Amino acid sequence: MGSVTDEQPDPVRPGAQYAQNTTQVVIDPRALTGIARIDEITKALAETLARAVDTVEYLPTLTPRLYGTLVHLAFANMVRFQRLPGIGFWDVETTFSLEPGAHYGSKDSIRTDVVLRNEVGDIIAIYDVKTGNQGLRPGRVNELRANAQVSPSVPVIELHVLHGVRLTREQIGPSLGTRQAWLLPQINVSGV
Amino acid sequence: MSMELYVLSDRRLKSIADWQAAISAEGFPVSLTTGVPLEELNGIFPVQLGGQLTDFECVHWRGPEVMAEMADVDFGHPWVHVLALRWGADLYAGPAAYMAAAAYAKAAGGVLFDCEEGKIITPKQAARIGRELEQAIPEAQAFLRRLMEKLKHQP
Repeated sequence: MGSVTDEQPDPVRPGAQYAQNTTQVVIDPRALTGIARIDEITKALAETLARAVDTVEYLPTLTPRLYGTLVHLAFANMVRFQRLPGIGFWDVETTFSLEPGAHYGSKDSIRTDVVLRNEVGDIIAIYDVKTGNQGLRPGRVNELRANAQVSPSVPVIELHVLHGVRLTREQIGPSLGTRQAWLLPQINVSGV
Repeated sequence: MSMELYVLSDRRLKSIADWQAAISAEGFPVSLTTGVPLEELNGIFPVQLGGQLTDFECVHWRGPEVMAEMADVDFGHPWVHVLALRWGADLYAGPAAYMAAAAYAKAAGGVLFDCEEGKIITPKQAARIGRELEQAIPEAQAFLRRLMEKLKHQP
């Protein structure tokens, strides 16, 4: 997969469209399970997230939180339309609860970004998208597995959009500011 | 559900009614709509933002455990309690979460950790962010409409 480039992008032009910029995907080898079905979907979802990031147009007024919301919206809808094997419509933004039969607003309930199922419908991987500076906490990983009622062997895979301050000055070039770093998003895929 | 906001405090509000009163005192258009007692919140929490039904996950954590897991963050104080709010692809959840969390933090004498920016923010800052997100809903709706049109027409 690609890696962070040290090429300097064109200067920011307020109001310009940067959707043609290609977000790079970097997959940590530890995110790969050796199970072809899971690893192929991991790569496909990372590429979908990269397209979702590219879809969110650069706007001078875009705050980190609105950016995150738009990326999540784009990703969820693109995955639903993509019809990847093992990911049905309801496997995106799925609510899980420890209370049998309970769903909305119930105790001990969580919502996953994407789950991947095998041929008989069992969950074989959980994917979580991160757009902020903080990655998945270990405690959250445990919650995801517990509430989805899967074993500790089921991988929880983080798809993390890195931008702005998450790219070091060396990576983005010493003369570039935070706004320009937004033009160099990167998807880091890591397993937990 | 992976956009997160943590309220850090040394005391908890006593009830959903107290939390709602704090929200109302700030003039936020957020209504908490659960029958679950506040101390038992541990899951998806239905709320309304200006009459629009939405939700976010809401979980109580112990402060020392969270701060130990996030040792690279300077929390500035050994907070006792963490109320974690979490949401995903929902236009209304973000503003509701920031507003509700801002009101909780102010009433409980706490601060917030904004996971999107990775820094501590004040209740006042969280309130402003909530308002900004609320005002951006039409922009986000327009984005979503354009996206759905593209997806419907792609091969």
